[in-house]
Amino acid sequence: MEERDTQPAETTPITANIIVARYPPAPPASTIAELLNARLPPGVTLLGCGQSPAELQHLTQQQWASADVLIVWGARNPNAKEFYAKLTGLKWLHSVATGLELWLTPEVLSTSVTITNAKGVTANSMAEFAMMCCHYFSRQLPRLLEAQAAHRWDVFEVEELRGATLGLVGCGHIGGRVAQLGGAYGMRVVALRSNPALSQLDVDSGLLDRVYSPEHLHEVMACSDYVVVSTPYTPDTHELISAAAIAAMKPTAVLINVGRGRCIDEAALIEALQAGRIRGAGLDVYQVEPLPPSSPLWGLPNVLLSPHRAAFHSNFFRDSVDLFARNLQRHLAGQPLLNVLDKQSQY
Amino acid sequence: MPHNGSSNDTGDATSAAAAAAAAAAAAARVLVIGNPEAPEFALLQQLPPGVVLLGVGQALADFAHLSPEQWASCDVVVKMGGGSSPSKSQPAHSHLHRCNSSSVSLTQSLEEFWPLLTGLKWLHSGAVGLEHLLTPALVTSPVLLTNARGVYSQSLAEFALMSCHFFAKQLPRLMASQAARVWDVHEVQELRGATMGLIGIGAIGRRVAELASAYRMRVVALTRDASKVQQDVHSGLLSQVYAADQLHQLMAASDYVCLSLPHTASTDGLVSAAAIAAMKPTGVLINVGRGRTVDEEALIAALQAGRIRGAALDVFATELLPSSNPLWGLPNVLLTPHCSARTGRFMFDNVQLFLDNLQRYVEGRQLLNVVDKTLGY
Repeated sequence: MEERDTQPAETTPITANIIVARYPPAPPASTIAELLNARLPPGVTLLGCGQSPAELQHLTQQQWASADVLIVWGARNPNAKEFYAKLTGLKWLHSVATGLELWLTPEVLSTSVTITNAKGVTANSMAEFAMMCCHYFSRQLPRLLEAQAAHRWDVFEVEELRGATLGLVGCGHIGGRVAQLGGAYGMRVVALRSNPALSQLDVDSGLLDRVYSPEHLHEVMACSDYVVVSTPYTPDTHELISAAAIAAMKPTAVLINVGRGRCIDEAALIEALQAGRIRGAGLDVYQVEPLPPSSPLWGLPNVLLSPHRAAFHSNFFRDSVDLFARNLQRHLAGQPLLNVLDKQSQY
Repeated sequence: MPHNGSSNDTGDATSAAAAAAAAAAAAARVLVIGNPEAPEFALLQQLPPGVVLLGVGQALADFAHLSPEQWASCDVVVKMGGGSSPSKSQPAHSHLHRCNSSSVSLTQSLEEFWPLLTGLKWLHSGAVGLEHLLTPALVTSPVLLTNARGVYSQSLAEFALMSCHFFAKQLPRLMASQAARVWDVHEVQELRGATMGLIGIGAIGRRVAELASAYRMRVVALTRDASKVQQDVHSGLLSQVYAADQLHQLMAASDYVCLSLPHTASTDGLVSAAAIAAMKPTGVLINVGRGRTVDEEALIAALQAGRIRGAALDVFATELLPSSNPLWGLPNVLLTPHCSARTGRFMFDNVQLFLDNLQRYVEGRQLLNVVDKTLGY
């Protein structure tokens, strides 16, 4: 990671200095450096990439102070406080993915540091995963595959997604894309979001059949055949999908979570699945990740379990670095950035 | 005219009016070949005025009550098949009749009926595939033939997209890791940006195109008649159209090939060994049309050798698929026993389609889904 030569004196250099906080399953530091350096304009330097400040011993005090941009590449990195302590000149924090919870410390939230994430980059991939989960249950894929393994010509009735009700809990980029796909199938799409007025255009255009505010959660749970949760994890969404909300679901309904595991009361979900009180669940996120082998979720026949990979499509790094590069241009030009996190709501 | 076979016979004070209506030329005299207990036939209580229902039954013996005049007066026959009897219509856990054994038995029954139907003008089939129905006698006769094109399109299109997900998201790997309790982190592919190649752009192919388009796939199609799809090219639904002699180009360009062709003399074995060899090694073949439009042995060989990524098949050269067929055991195959269109509503949709057509018939309007008997679809 070489430093670039400084610009000649007659042009006022617009510079930025970047540190990357890397955490598995992020690619190796060398790969990250390659991906970023290919997109950095003159005057912008990648100072270092590591899991903690301890891994970046070669950086001087001055270099740390000069770093105004921090890229979080692996949000489960527990070393946020250590990084913040060194980054005395931090202006802009950017996550290459969407979730940032561990990095949203009270301290950083009280500063004027601009926080952005890559929401939107993964929306399509997550939405496709959600639709796959719907198909998994409507077509009884486990039954199908079991008969296939037994060489048994087992004719049974299948369900269409057309005409079924899709209930979106959370209606941001992911929810919006799921709505588009669900609508294309002829599903009836309803949504619950903290600010229903934001979806009025979608109701008018027919993309959404109805939008609900959060106090109507049980209504949404009760009328849906497929519930897709895509909320970020904030104080307001902690165990939003409670035992009571799960109990309000149809016995034939499926719960799909592509948001955050802690938005659901996981113990209550496991109980409901074990008792057959709902048809099943399609999950990409969990309270604890990696999901411990002892979790009952692994062995439940009515669960499709994905190891938090639904967002990581083959073009993810390219698209995410693309977004960062565009935001970097805005940062250098003093323009408003894309995907700025609201510090009050934390998303 | 006697109307003992008519279900419209009210037998009360209005019977004089009913008799007068019956005595006049009836708008149509309909005979239904199907299971009289099937719940979807409740819809037949809503026949257009002036239509006489001669009866519902599965074999000649079920129509023993019909007089020779009634037989001769029958101008409309509906041949339903592939449905279920009411006691078996429980979703998800039903033991339904096998789709294909019932269609075989109905083939025989039409041949029994044929000599008696001297006044037949219109035959409506509740199936889409007509290869068993198209006897030389029917083809050369002036009888108008319509089928259930469209009824199955949504369900089969959903199956096609599910098949794409099955391979793109590595569903078998996901499920295996789940069974082993292994947190197996791997990349997934999006359908967005992938190419869907359609062989057959009829009702099914078009619905697949619409769904694939919603996923922002690039959709291309092979068709014998490019003029039929000009509108789709203009609207952007189709990015490219291939002529019939460009099959290999379509195969080479596609990430997912969806075949929905009927089985006719010209489509027999259309997807040949050479066509399969032209596919990308990451290509997936999906067949929701007829098994015999593919060289099944060549497909098996390609799958076994890993020369294509996989296949999702609802139809086969021989059905029921013998348990010894290698397709069952291949890890890169998703196999459904010709029931991917079998939903709880499909027979109701089927009967409703016939009723819509019946309304057109009595009004003298153009019927829907008219089949070109010489082409076979």
